[in-house]
Amino acid sequence: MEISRRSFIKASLATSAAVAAGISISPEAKAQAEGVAVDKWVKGVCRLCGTGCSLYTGVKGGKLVAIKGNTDSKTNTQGFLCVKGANIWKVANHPDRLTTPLIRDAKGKFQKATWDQALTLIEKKFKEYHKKFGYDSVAYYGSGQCTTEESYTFNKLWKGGFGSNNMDGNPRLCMASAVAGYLSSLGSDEPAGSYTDIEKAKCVFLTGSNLSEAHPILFRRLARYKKDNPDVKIIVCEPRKTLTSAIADLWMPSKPGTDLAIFNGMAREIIKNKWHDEKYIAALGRVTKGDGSEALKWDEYVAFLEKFTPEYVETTTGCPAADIKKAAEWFAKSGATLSMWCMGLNQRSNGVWANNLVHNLHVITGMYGKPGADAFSLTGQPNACGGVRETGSLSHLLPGARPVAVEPWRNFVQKYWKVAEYSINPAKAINPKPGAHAIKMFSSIGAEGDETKPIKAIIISTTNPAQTLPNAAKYIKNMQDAFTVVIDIFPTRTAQCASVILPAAFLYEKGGVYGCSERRSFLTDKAINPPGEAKADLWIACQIAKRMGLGKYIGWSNEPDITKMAEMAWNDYIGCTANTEKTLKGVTYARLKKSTTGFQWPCPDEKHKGTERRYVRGSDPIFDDPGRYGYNIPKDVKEFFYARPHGKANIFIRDNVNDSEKTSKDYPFIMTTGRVIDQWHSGTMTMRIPETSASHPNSYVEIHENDAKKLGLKTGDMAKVESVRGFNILPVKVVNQTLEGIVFVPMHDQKASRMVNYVCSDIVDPTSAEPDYKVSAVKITKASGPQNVAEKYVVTKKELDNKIFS
Amino acid sequence: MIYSATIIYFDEKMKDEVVKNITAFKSVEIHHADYEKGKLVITIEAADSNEIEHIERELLTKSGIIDVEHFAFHFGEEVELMEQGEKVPDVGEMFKSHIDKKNS
Repeated sequence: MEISRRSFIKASLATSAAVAAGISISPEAKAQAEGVAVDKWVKGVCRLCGTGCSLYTGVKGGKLVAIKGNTDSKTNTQGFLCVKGANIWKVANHPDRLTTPLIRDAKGKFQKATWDQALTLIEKKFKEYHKKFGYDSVAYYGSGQCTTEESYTFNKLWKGGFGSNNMDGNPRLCMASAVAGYLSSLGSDEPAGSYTDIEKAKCVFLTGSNLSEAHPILFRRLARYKKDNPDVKIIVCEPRKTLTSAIADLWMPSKPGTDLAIFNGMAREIIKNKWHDEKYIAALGRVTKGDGSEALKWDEYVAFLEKFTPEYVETTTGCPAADIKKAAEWFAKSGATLSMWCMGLNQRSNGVWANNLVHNLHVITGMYGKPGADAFSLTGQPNACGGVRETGSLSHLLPGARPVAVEPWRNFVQKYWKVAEYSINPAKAINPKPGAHAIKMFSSIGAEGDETKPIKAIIISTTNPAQTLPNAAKYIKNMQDAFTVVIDIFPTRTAQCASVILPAAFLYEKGGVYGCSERRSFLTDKAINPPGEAKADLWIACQIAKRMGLGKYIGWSNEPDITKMAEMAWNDYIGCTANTEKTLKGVTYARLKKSTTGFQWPCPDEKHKGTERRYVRGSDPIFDDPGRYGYNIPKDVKEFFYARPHGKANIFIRDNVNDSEKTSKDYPFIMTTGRVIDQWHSGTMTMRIPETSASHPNSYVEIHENDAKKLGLKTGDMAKVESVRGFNILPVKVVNQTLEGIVFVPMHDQKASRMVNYVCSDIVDPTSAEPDYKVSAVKITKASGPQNVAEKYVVTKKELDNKIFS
Repeated sequence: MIYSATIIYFDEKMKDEVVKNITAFKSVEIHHADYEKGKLVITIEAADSNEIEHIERELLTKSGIIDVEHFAFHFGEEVELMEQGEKVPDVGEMFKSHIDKKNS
């Protein structure tokens, strides 16, 4: 490269950064530097966590060659990016990309096929199974990484077109407890506030979230705020003292699964010291228990809490009594407390209850409805909220995140979709009964001849359940036995189980809308073409619809242009949900194309700029015309949880009990799993990026130094981590910043001997059906001395032919 | 090579020391500055993002530097390498530090 070109590239990037930083530069310098490095900048979002960072991809000669932050962004403010996101281009250009459809032959080998051959086989099988085994025998399992248009299209196809609710998605494994928590506590899914509450809070309560590694840009945002505002209190409540605790004023350790006692203990302390907000509770709170139907008296709640003394809670949870008192005081007296949580609360046998109890703390202290005060669930995937929760692409929901069992809403959707006219199911109606949730779905799939397995075929898109389902060995064979169609960009463990593999387009090769944790929908424009014959999921959904006789029903299925096709799907979606509180009716594709910030729902018309805070008059447009959305809001109230009867949020009486696996003499340790900063999900993408795979090339077991000493283990030794379900052989990492008796294993490694979900418990929360990844009873034994396992293992194209995982 | 455009936030009272510390890095250039508000725009030229992260960590140890935030990256050469070599180059292995370590 010539020096001058290098200098131009650097000057160009620096100019963009100067604009982002608010540093004034001369128009001449700006003009000189702009446009040299790339042919065009195309706006989009990062897809490697749930934050929703917005960025521009730089395209030159039809290739992605650069990335820069979006200075207008409301998520990654000032356009800052993390290094993980900056490497995303290597995914698009990677030689492992799947570029042609593959069909497994009679000998078990994959053979290249044309799209017509692959789609004809899918059509034949689906029609055969529908006829022979009924419409519920063909399932779909999607992802919080599909675009909103894709998830909505598959949802409409399955629930209305096929009349089957056997349509679920991987947010079941990460967000379902948060959904049920919001619905049962506040009446409507998703947070009331926004990321802007970070910079307005006086106290931040992080529980069940390793923000520093799972959401690094939000962590940096919080760290910057704390640095400028040292009086702001940050509390971190989790079993491991992670990097997140580095900015905390207080780390509250808790044994996995026991933090309900901490939340109840904090509530008791708040009420005992009269730090609660009596007026707020009287106006907007309601004590209840169980399913929430029975209203109880405040005194019953107070009496229930009596046993959660700080000393009792310390014994139960391992969290020092003094910390509980201090946290309660900071939480209640700050003036504005923001709670944020993630999988540490959700992936539990009592995940919904844990969510309810965090909401309790906010209701009794009046910590909603004002700047800096909210109970905010963070998502792990870039479009779990917009794509799956809001479009209702879980087995029990319909668009608008309303349950399929709710008759008036089901009737509305049925009519809107014209199910009676178009459905191929003779019932000509949406089934009122929820379909199979993820764990039930993968328990129920199997071979044609297996009478115990009612689901015979499944499409799995943009996710990797053969690696990510807990107790994985139980479900892998089912996927291998069924007619399994996998849509993905790379070979994966799930693709190894497939009958047909369809090569997918990457986000920047197709475009589409993602909706992040803060209710913000943002359009990624198509930047480049997909490699080979890879196609967008939306196109695939449309081809299946047409072949199944539903071409007219999916009205955009004949549109040749993928962007126009997506726009048509979007228009259908926002029309369907226009009269719900999740309305994006004002967010037309034209607005999305122009916008560099995206829009937060509710956004009811094209003049509306989107909603930063819900449930507050003057901010939330639902207050302006509640009847349109089926709500009744008194004219004299300023704040109102309108999706709840009488606008009152539930204060749940929930005891610290759970169905999690218990330790025993044989299995004396609790294993918890989670993310590391360098990797994401099953490593399908990040284990193929040299920088991130070099930083985290393999899984390991993190163990407290006292436990390690007792077991004769040193860092680097190999340990067998074994549950009643299976085992891993992992290198040991001895630490002193966790509780004794608890071990941690990252979840990203694809190597069969280190796939942690062979070990994990598949107990699920009874309400949300979300699995209990955070609590598995295990035993640890030394397997050997140190071995080199830094393999950066990924499933290869060649390995797809072999159903045995190596 | 990868290029990053990075914003440095610093204590404006320590401007001279901060600038001196930054210019000591051979692969770092200062492009724009707002000395009154304690902001600098630099570019980092590196073999891979690990090296960028390494420089970021080094910068954060220097007195007066409050924060280091990346804004943009350019990796055109790496795209060309991938296309030519049909593999994702782990160019970190070309580093002198890596070679020294390997040879030691």
